[in-house]
Amino acid sequence: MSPKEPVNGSGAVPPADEKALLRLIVADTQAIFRVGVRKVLALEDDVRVVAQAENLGQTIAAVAKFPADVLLFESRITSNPAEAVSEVIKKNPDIRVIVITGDVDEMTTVDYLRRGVKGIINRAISPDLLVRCIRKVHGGEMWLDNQGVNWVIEAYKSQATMLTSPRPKNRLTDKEMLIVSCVAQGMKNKDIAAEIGTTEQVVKNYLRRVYDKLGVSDRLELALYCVHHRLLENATPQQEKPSDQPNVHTPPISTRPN
Amino acid sequence: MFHIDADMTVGSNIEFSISIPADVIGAPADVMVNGEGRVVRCGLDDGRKSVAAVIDEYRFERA
Repeated sequence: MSPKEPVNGSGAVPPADEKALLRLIVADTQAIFRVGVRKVLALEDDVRVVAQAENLGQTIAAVAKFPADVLLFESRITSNPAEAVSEVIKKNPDIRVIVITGDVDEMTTVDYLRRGVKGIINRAISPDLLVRCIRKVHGGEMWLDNQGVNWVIEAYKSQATMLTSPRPKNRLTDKEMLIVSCVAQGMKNKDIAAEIGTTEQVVKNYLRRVYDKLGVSDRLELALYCVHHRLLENATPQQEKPSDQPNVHTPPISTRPN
Repeated sequence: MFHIDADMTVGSNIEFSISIPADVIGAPADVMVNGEGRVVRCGLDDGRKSVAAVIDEYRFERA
């Protein structure tokens, strides 16, 4: 809803049969992308961009103000897009959210879907596929690429396995173990993200989950947990580590009395 | 919470340094964690002086 761009993206007189329209909100940080989407959709008689947003505040406001069927939502519009999706859906439970991203992994994909996202597309999607995606999602279907589908299936299988044979609470995935290892070595989130080829936000998401699994609350507790439980020694991800032989390294403590 | 021979008083500031052995975390070198905190409780634990402290600040020091 930039002042330079009308909220009503098409600027056209609304057709008489408003209900037959597929109403869309485009939320993207880049004006060129928003304009591109509008141009692509301008060829579709029954699709109308009812609002545009370039930041999260505008997106939430647009969703609250304009009745819309589908929201095209760029993940980079906020540092925590998954949380933002929840907020959007809270504002309009009927809206179908399609996340536009250039960087997505298994955990983020599953998190998006659990929060109600109906489609995830890459920023490099072709115009034809974009239109198909919007129509499919509007029609009640999900839209994921093959990799996304595989991740969802894996998450489902993993969940089913946990239900049938409960695993120890602290069982970590390969990626989680890698991130724990980096944290224990004193790396910052930014460095970890660079190391494993993802974003700081994704690293934060992983860490939240690791903290929850292990019952720790910060990096120091996590590092000490690794020491006490020998979590990383000869680490074989997905296998339970012996926890009955703690190797406590007694900290030398110096005091500075008041 | 930790054990210590010296007497400490509640409210004292402490500085601590924890060395995390390289072999335990699969790192090329030991990792140091330095920090500051405050004593919040003192007592006896199995006849040993025990001190509980809150950690106010810490930082990982990579080699």
